[in-house]
Amino acid sequence: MNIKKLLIIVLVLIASHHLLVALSHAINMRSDQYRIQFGKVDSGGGKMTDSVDNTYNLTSSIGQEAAKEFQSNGYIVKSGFQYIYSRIPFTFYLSNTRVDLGTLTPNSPSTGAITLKVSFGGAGQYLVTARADAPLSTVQGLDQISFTLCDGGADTCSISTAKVWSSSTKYGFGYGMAGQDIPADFTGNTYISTTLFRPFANLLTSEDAVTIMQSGNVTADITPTPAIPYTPAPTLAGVPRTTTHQSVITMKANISGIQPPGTYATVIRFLATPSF
Amino acid sequence: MNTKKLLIIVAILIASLQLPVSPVHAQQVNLSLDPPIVQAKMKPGRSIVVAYTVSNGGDPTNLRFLIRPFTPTGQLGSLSVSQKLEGPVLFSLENTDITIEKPFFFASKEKRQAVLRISIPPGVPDGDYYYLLLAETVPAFSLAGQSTGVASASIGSPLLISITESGVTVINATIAEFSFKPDYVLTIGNNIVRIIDNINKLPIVCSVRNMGKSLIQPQGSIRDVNGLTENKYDIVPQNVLSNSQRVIKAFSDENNTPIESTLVLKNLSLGTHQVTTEIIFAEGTPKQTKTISFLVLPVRLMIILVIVLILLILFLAQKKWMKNEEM
Repeated sequence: MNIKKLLIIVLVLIASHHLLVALSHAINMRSDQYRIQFGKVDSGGGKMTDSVDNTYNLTSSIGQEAAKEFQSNGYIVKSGFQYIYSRIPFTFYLSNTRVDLGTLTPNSPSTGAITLKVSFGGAGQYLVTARADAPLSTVQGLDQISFTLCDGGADTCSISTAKVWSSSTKYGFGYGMAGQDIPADFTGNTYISTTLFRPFANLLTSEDAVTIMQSGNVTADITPTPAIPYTPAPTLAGVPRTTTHQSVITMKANISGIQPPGTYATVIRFLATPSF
Repeated sequence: MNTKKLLIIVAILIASLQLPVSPVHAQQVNLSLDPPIVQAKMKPGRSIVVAYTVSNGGDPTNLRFLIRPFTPTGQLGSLSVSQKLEGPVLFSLENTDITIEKPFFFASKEKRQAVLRISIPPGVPDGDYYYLLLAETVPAFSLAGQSTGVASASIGSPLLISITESGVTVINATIAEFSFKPDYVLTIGNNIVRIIDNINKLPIVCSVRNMGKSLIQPQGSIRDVNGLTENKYDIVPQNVLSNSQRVIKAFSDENNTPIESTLVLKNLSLGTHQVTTEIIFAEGTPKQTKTISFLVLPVRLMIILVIVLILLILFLAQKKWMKNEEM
C-alpha cells in the first residue's frame, strides 16, 4: 500500500469519525435527592386521589398522633409538596449570565437575549421574578441610560404593562418576553420578533421585583405511591404535563446622540421559586 | 517526511479526536434546590435542623446562601421578598465551610448541602413567619468595553414557620369567591339565567381567604352535576398563608389551566349544571359549601340555524313574489 492510498483511508476514517460524533447524548434526569417527609403532619388529612388517572393516593396521618408528637418534641417538620411525588427537582436555568449589548450607537437599538428554563417536577406552581439593581450606568455611576417608557403616548409602558417600543428615537433600556408562562401583556411577541417591552423594576427606587414567568399547573406526571404491602404500580393513564417550561427575555437599549460615551452595565436579578 | 513520521502524526490526530470533549458555552446557570418547600410548626425555645441540597448543573460560579422574609401578594401565589433578614426567628448554617451571606466557589456538577439551624427564642408570640432560603449566584463583571446586562440567578425554597406554644391554631377562613363568567345572561322576571355555549371551555374561580394567624391547607372537592352525570375534582391541598387570599387549584386533566382559574370545565353536556364546592380548612372545622348553576346550550349552532331559517324564508318569499310578478 502506498502513502497516497494510506492517507486516503485515514482521511475517510477521520471524516467518518466526525459524522459519528453527532450522536445525541441521554441526559440523566433521575434524581435520588428528592424526598417527601410528611409522615406526621399537623393538619389536613384524608385521602387525596388524582382525578386524572386515580393512581395517586396519599393519606396523611393527622390529628391525635401529630398533636402528641408536637407536645413531646416541640416541633413538627415536613418538607416537599404533599400532593406531588416527583423525581425531578426544582431547577432554574439561564443560558448565559451576560447580555452584551455591544457598542451602543445613537438611534440604533441593540438587543441581547437570555433563555430561561424552569423544571418544576417537584413543585406544582412556580414563579420567576426579575429586577434590576439600577438603570444601565457607567462604572463611576455618573451617567445612566434610563429605563424605557416605550413609544410613549398610548404606548407608554410600565414595569407591569408591556407596550410597543419600535421607534428608533425613543431611548432607554428595557426587556421583552416570549415563550411559555409569560405575562399576558407580552402576548404577540415571538422568539424571533419582539416589539412589546417593559422597563425593569428598579431596586434603587424600591420597586418590587416583577413576575416574568408563572405557572399554576400542578404536574400530573407523577409516580403512583405503591400501597403497603407492595403491589405493582398501576399504569399511568393520565395526560403527562411537561415539567420544563422555557421563555426568552430580550434586553434592548437605545441611546440618543447626546448620551455621554462610556461603558454601561447593570445587574438583573432573576429569582425562581416554587410557590408556597 | 517519511511514512513513519506521517503515520505518527495521523495517529496523534485520531487520538486527539477520541479525547472527551466538553462543549463550551457562555456562562450558564443551572441550579437545583431540594426540598422545594419546608413547613415547620414549632414551640418557642426550640430549634430544628433542615438540610437543603443545591446542585450545579451549569458552569462554575460563586454562590451564596441567603435567608429573606417574604409576604404573599395578590391571590395567585405570588410573593414579595424583603431585601434584608428580619423577624424573630434565628438562622445559622451548621456547615463548617460555608456561612449565610458569604459567597463560596461552586464547581460544575457539584452538590452542596446547606444544613440550616432554625431557632425560635423563648417568648416569641404565636403566629406565622415566612422566609425563603435562597441560593444566589454572585454576578461577575468583565465589561471589556461592551455595555452589558449582567444576570444573577437565585433559586429559592419557601420556609413556612408556625410558632405556637400550645399546638392549637385558630382557624378563621372563608370561601371568598366561587364564580364563573357566563357567555350570556338572560333575565326573565326576577330570575337570572346564566348561559354557556357548549363548545366553550368554562373557567371556574374558587378563592379562599385566610383571616387567621396561621396558614391553612383547604381540602375538599368541586362537583359538577348535570342530570344523572356527576364529575368530581379534588382540590389541591395548597397553603393559604395567614392574612391572605389565594385562588386554589383542583386536579384535572386540563393541561393549561390559567393561573387565575381553579378549574376549567370542558366538553360540557347540554342542560342545567350545578357546580358545588365543599371545603374544610382543617380537621374538625365545619365544611363550607358554595354552589353556582348555569345552563349549557348550543348557542352558536342555534344562531346559525336561525340565520339559515331567515335566509330560507327570505328566499322563499322572494321566489313567491317573483312568481306573483310573472302572473
